[in-house]
This record gives sequence, structure tokens and C-alpha cells, in this order.
Amino acid sequence: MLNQQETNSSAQVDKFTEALASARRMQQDWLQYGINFLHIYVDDVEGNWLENWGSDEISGSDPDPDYSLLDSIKEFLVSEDHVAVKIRQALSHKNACAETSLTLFDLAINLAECCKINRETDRLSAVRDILIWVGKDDPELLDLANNLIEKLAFGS
Amino acid sequence: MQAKEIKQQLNSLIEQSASIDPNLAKKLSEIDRWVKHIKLGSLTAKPIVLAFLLEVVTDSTIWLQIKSLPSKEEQTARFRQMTANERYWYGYLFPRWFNSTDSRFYIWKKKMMSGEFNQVDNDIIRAIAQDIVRREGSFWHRYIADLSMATDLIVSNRQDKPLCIQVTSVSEEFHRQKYHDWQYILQLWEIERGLFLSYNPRCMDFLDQLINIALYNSDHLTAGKYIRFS
Repeated sequence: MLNQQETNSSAQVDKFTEALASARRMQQDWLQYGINFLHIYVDDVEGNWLENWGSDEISGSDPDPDYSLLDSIKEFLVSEDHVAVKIRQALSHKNACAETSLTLFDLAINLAECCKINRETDRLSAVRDILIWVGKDDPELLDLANNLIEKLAFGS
Repeated sequence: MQAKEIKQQLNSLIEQSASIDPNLAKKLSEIDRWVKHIKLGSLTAKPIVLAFLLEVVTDSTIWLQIKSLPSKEEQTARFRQMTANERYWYGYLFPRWFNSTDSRFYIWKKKMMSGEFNQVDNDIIRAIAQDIVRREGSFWHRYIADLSMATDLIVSNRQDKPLCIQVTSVSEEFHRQKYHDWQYILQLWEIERGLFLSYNPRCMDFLDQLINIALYNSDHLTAGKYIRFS
């Protein structure tokens, strides 16, 4: 049993050594050729691999609706839309003042949860609570929350 | 190898990591879905995406090989086989990256797709790395570090103390803001010291100066310091 374990361990060591050597080799090739180092490792860099990525997967393995919603919220939050810009400003202000490190991702997760609330008034109040949480507690808060819901509903 | 084999490797790593390190599995699945939904905006984007994927696959393989070793002692022994820069990357920054919810990850696709990877800056970074090696220092270059951690190179010199550096040709006008953003990002990742180097592309002898500064500070910059040179 012990011998078996030792054999497994040494096989892993070899795989590890191999993988580390490969990382170093790639680094060395990058040093010499820049981004063109890729052509040493991949035959069809400019081929259709990106367009075909995942095309042979069963459609059932596509992202679930929750993920798509989260994705579109994230897209929206990093966009140049004036509501998104205001929210980002509020978030960075809160992080600077309160020494927190809330990320857009945290915010997106919370907003995705809100979007699942069925009753419109409850949904609005949940979004408003989140905006207060990021520090957007000013007279235009209700408008901003309304705008945000509108945008997100459109985005999803 | 054909590029589609990278997709197969990624799938296999997702499967392996599900039981060994679920957070890595989650991050890799996220990358997989992200690639699937990429809409190409720039002709130069494809090689960058591929280089990033190749790096993620390589680094995840290394990480899983270490994590699946049965004892702490064996894992420590593998880290001892690494250079100081590699140890810093695989033992600290890389796991921090996939264990975190990296908000900048979602800005990446815009950056990658718009071809914002400035070829001139990239050539300078590579020239710096080449000279560092010539002067017996060492470097580590990672796309993840560049995109998430505002780090173009991790550099070590005689004392084997990895230092994160960012190199930029940004004009004076935007210099101050970029420096503050850079420092904020480094602190967010708990990178304890950093060097922000800005250069004037019209000045020919800047390369030597940048390398001297990088190598010296790798050995001597104290923790908690984020300094800039221009």
C-alpha cells in the first residue's frame, strides 16, 4: 500500500516537473518571440477555434438563466451608461471612505438576486437598499433605483 | 497542437479541479463561458485570448499537481523547486486570483477585444525582461497579472525578493491618476510592494535606467512601499 502511494506520488512529481518546465519554456519563447511564441505551440492561431469554441457541446450545458442574468448585469455595470457610471462612482467613493473593498462583482450578485423578486414594489425597495448600501443615499436615489431596474430588465 | 485542444484541456481541468479545488473549477468554468460569448472586435485580439488561455491551462495544471499531493511536506518540496518569482506566483498571487471575485475580470474582455494591449509597451516590457535576464536577474510575465493586478513583470534580483512592476509611457497629464489607480489595485491584492515606471519613448537611454531601478528596488524596497519613477 505504501509502495503504491509512493508510486502515485512520484508520478505526480514527474507531471509537476513537466508542467513547470513547460511554463518556463513558454516564458522563454515569449521572451524571444513576443506574442508570436504561440505559433510554436498552436498550429491554427488564426483559425476558427474561437468562433467554434464550445459549439460541439450539448446545448443543455449552456449557461443557466441565472448566469446569463448575472452576466448581463456585469456587462451593464462596466458600461458607459450614465446610471452605471454613477453607481461605479458611488462604489469607489464608499471603498475609499469606509476602507471597504466591495467589488462590482459583489454588487452584481446582489442585484441579480433583486431581479428575481416578483413583486415590483419589493424589487424596487430591494434595489434601493443596495444603492444605500453602496452609499448612493441622495435625493435622486429613487430615480436611480428605478432607472437601474429598467436598464436591468431590458438587459436581461 | 490544434487550438481546440486547449478547450479540451480546459474541460479536463474543470473536471479535475471540481474535487481538488472547487474555486479553481469555478474560475475555469467562468473563463470557458466567457470565451464562448466573446465577440471579436479586433483582429489582434485572437492571439492574446489564446496566449491567456494557454497560460491559464499551464498554471492550473501546475497548481492541481501540487494540490493533489498527499502531504504538506511534499507540497512544500514542490514549491522549493521553484524560483522565487514562480513561488510568489504559484504560492500566492495565482491562488489569490482564482479565489477572489475579480471585478477587473469583466473589464478584461473589453480591454482584450479592443486590442488595448499596446504593442509598443509590450515590446518595451519584453526588452526589459531580456535585459534583466542578461544581468542575471529573473522575471515572470503573466497575462493575469497584467490584466488583474496592474503588474507587467514580477522581477527578482540577487536577494530573490519578487517585486511587481508596471511600465507605462503614459503622458504627464494622466500619470498621477494612473499611479493612484495602480497603487489601489496592488493594495487590493495585498501585493506588499510595487514599482511604477513611466518612460518617455523619445528618450533613448531610458531602458538602462528602468532596469537599474527595477533590479535595485527588487533587493531594497521595503514592504508597504509603492514608488514611482519617471
